[in-house]
Amino acid sequence: MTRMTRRIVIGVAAAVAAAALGVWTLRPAAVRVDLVVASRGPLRVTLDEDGETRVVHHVTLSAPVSGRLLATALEAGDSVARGDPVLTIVAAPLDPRAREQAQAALQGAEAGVVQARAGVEVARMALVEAERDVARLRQLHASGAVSDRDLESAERLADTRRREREMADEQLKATEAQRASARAGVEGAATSAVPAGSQVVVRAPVSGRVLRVFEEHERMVAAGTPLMDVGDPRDLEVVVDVLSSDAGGVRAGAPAFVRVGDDTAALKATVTRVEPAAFTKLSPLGVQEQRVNVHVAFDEPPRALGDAYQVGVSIVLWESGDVLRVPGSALVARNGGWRVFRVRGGRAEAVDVAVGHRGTSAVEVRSGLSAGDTLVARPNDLVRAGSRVEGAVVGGGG
Amino acid sequence: MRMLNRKLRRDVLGLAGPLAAVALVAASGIALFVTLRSMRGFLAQSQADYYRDYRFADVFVLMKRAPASAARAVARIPGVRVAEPRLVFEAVLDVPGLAEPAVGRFVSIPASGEPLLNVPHVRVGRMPAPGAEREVLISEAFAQANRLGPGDSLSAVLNGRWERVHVVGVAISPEYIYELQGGELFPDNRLFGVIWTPRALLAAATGLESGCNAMALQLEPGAPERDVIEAVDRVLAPYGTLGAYGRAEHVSHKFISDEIEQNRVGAVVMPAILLGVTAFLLNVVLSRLVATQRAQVALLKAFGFTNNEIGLHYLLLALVPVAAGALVGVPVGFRLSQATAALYARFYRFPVSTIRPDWGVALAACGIAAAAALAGAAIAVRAAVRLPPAEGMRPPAPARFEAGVLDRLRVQRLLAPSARIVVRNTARRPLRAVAAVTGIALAFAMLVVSRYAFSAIDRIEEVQFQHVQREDISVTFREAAPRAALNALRRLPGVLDVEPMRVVPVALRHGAVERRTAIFALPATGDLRRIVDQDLRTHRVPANGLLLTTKLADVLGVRPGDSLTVDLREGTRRTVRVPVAAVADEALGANAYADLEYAARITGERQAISGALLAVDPRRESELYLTLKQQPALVGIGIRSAALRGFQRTIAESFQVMIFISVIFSVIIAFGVVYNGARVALSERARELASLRVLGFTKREVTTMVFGEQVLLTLLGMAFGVAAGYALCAVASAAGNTELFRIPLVVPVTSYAYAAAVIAGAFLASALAMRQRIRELDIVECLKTGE
Amino acid sequence: MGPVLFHARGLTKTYHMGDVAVHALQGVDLDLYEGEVVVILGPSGSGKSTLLNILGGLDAPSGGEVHFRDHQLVGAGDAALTRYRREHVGFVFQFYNLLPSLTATENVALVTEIAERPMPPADALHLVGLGERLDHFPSQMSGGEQQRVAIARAIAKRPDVLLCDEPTGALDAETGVVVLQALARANRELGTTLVVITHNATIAQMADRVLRMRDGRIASIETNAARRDPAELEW
Repeated sequence: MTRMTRRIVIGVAAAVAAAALGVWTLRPAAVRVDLVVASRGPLRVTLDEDGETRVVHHVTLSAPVSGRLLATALEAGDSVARGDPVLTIVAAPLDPRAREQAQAALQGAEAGVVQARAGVEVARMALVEAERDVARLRQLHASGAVSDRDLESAERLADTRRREREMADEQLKATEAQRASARAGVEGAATSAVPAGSQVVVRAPVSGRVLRVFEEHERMVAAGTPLMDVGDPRDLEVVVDVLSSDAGGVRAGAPAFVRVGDDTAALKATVTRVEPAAFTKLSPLGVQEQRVNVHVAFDEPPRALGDAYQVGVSIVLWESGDVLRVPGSALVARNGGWRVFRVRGGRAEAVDVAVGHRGTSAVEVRSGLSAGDTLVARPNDLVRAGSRVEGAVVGGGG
Repeated sequence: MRMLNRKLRRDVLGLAGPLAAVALVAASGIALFVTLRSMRGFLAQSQADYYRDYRFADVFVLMKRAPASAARAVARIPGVRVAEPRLVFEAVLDVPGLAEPAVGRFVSIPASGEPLLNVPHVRVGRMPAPGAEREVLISEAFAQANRLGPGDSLSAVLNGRWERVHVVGVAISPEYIYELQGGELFPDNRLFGVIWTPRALLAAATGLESGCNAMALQLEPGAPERDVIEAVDRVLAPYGTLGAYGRAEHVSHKFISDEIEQNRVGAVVMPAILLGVTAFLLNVVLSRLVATQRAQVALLKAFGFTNNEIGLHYLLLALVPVAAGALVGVPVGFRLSQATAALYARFYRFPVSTIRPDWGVALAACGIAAAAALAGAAIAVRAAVRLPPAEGMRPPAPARFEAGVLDRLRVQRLLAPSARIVVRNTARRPLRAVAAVTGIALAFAMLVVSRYAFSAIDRIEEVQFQHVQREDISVTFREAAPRAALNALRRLPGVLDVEPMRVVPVALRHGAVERRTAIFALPATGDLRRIVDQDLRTHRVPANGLLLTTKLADVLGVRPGDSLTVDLREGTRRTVRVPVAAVADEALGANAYADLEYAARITGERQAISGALLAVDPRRESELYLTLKQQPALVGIGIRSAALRGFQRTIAESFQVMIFISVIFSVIIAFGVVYNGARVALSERARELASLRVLGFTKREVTTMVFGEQVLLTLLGMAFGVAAGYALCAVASAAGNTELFRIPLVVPVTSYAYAAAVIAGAFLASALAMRQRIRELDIVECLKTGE
Repeated sequence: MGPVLFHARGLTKTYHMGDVAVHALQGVDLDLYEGEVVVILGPSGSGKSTLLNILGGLDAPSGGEVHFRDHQLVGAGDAALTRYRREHVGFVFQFYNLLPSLTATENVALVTEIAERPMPPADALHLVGLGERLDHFPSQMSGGEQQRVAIARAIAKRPDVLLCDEPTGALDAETGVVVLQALARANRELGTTLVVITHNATIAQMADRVLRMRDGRIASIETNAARRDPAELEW
């Protein structure tokens, strides 16, 4: 090889080496990302709102006569049995106004009875319907036309309705006792059978606990003034208000989960009733919204929960045991659909996917991916089709 | 001396090339010096004038609500000259033509007309007429970004319902030179503006007919600010004050003062480098000149010219390029400073923008350049004139050559004879070689640094907007909201994900150091806002205690494991001791982070959140914006893409101009050094090269020899330049270490590649210029006269 | 003969070129008189130039002493030597040593500007016969013309002594004669003492005295009975 040729060869080799070095050092760095994995498993679409516990059936004791209410020793949380004396009023001299008040109290009690009766009727009819549903579904389930879950749901509902019916009966009894008490007050007023200065004892119409004491101290009260709430605190339901637009997707019998405070363990519950009428409420963002109350009953009576506790409620709108899910953070919106960045061999490739149901943190993927695919979580602007990426898997799917 | 002067003139003409290169470098150094120092003076002066003319307040304070009597009580505090109560209210705006929700800071102006302090200066239109409740002034930056002017209208949710206000004027104010929404890092003038509103309208919105929720104070000259602030806090304690603060903690003032401060550093370093290189180049040029004029110098001495006379002659020669440089550099410097001043004036919206030529600075620049030149020249000249004339007139002894290291290693067998000459020549004059290598290394380093500045900014941008902020929109509630608000936000159109966040205004104390800041509380499993350090590592909020930005930890003097005293500035106003769980070296800001639950524990307020971070489907953005505008409980809306634009615009306007200038100057230096080196080498060795040509070496081989040495020196220079460049970047990074941001010391390979490319380009350009001269080398003449 | 101009005793000079030590002068005693023409002969390396340089204050001897009139040259500082050269000495070198960037007139003017009682440059140039080359640069002149400019430059300042080192060394015979004539004229008309170094023995005939040097010493001093006019010389 002549000197010239050798020089050329060396020169070219050096140039190629330099170019290769240049390309290798100047290529863009790999993008640091978090990775998540698509997996198969259960997915739940829930409606999440804050609600409040409420004792379903409780009786408000009101003053049967006007007079001086003596201080009561009872406090919220104390147990009472039916018939226990709870309050004492020293009757005041009656005056026509008092008589009218006693009359009004009686009317209120009458109304209460009527309402309770209606409640019993409603509960009875609901129970009948639920039992009919169960019978029907049992038949269909025997022939395989209906899933286990749907049958369980119906049976659970029937149990709940049964309990409600019992409670409605109790409520009826309580309101009847209340009416008797009011009637006594009216008669007393009419006939002055209750002499001024005599003590009128109000008794607990049902067994349970004292829920709330409205008047603790001794003071003059007029007939009909609410004095105390008594009820069975185990008889709890949760009332949660949802947007009227969301209420349409909630059906009685839908399963729900109730979370207390920061506990992650959720209590199982079932939707019992969606109220038909909406009301106006101010949202935390300051706008007026139309909301509908939904009643949710615990599947098992809860412990350590009282009346008017704030709880978080998740009403299950849809669930499936086995879908392909990805964390919502992996999805990027595109015109006409969604896209993910799947990682293969250290590079990201853009994959268009069809999504289905969207849960709180995971989303169903109907096509485009397989279980086990590694995806980029929250891809930023640096991640593009073909980019080199590096990172570790965080969290999990669903 | 006339003849000497004529000789001087003719010599200058003969050396036009190298002297022009030196003049260019000198001109660059002078121009840069003049520009930067004039700017600093101008900015400081403009700021002072603006503050004075429009009565920028000394102390500011916000509270929840205070009665008029509280304002009077504050006015009576010793040291307070003027106490002006006012109403400040932030609300989401619906701006015509703007899809995104903007936020407006409504600031009240008294019914009587102009406020006493922080006076808005009306640039277009007029002040609202007394009694016209809905007439407002809007800030100029906001007006220009949204193309609004007198006659336009804006809507906002005040009083729980939409109110329409009418723009009658566009104004600027010293209080809002930088208009920054709370929690944002860089201004976005499109989505945030200041609206000066008649008091009556704001009184209804805030429910404060006669009270106030903000005050501005002017202090007596010499009044102790700290004492006044303490007194103000005491008086206003019952009214929910977050604490009074002075100008030092005023966002707008801090921003512009930081900027002026940074100018100061640049004003010293860059010109120093340029002028140093000027000195070096002059030394090289003059050494060569004097060396070739050795015999002439001896002759002059023989004829009785004193050392001083001869020395002066050559020193005057040294001053010629400096004078030329000054003639070019001073007017260029004035022009540049005018342009930069106009840029800054437009950017900061100073009401006055003229900058007068500062002759003092120009004279200083010329003086320094001349001193540098003379320093460089004096060394060379001194050596020459001290030679006894007889020695000077003898032909120089053949250079001493010994068997050097390379010879002993038998390396020379691998090299062709021409290469051997190259290597031996370079090794023979180590000082000369070192000087040349240093020059090239310095030029290389400067190029690396200028490129590095760009990539550092890119890095900050990447870290902040791609790794730290992953939400699309952040919202802030007017009052602390319950957790249920998250559900409400989740239901808004286009919202894919919601995470809570909480901002707790606090004062952190350790020993004697106190810092007023806020704890940023995030959920432990949060994903949308992260803590990312300069190495792109993610940090999680600690389960217990605080995580501090390293800068904040340094300022407070704490390390992980130490405890801090935390004063809560709102709510329960407790003081708690809190452990520092970890530190993270973030690039932006000086922040304190905590777990949301931990923050709930130390504040005693379990349910409260200040705001939320949202991930949004971009296809439903406009629908979401429309909805957000209508939520009265929201007082702040941050859109990440807008924040990114704001960052880019801020950086583009203030940094990139300066960086661009320094790139230009770096390139000039590179060319100057490389070209000079080649030219000098050629001239010095002309005789030798001519001899070689006589002996039969071709033009190409001779060229190779000259350039061989230059290539070797250039490569060595680049090698050292890599280290020097990195060191210079470290200096720049340390210099830019403020509480607002840190410049990450990440020097990508591209910086070095870029610098190498420029130096190589300079080399090739000078090579082409030299080729011409070599071709014209008249062999015979060279041998005769040695010139 | 006039009064003593130079008085030198025991001059030695050793200098180093690279690694080599050269003993240029090894003990020279000498008296030179005003107005005389002295030619120094000798082979190359005999120390002629070194002696001339020392006499002109261009170089300092390693040992011995030398006086010009009553000034002690040895031990005089650089400034004193410079002043001495400025006021009293004119040089003519073998390789002309003109400033290439100045014209003939300017080259002469360079020196007359700092002289105490110079003659106008044009006159000096006319004296050497270069009247029409006043504004030419050295690169535009032949060797002989350049040397004549150098002489004009030297005599224009009316020095007390002209020290010439091989003034005709690079010239042909004809031009050499012209140059020597100019030197003789200066000596005749201005009374300038001439000290001329040459290796050309013929030139010695124009001198009053001829010094022969060998190996750094003065081998002999001869006096010419009569000076010959340069025009008569042939070599």
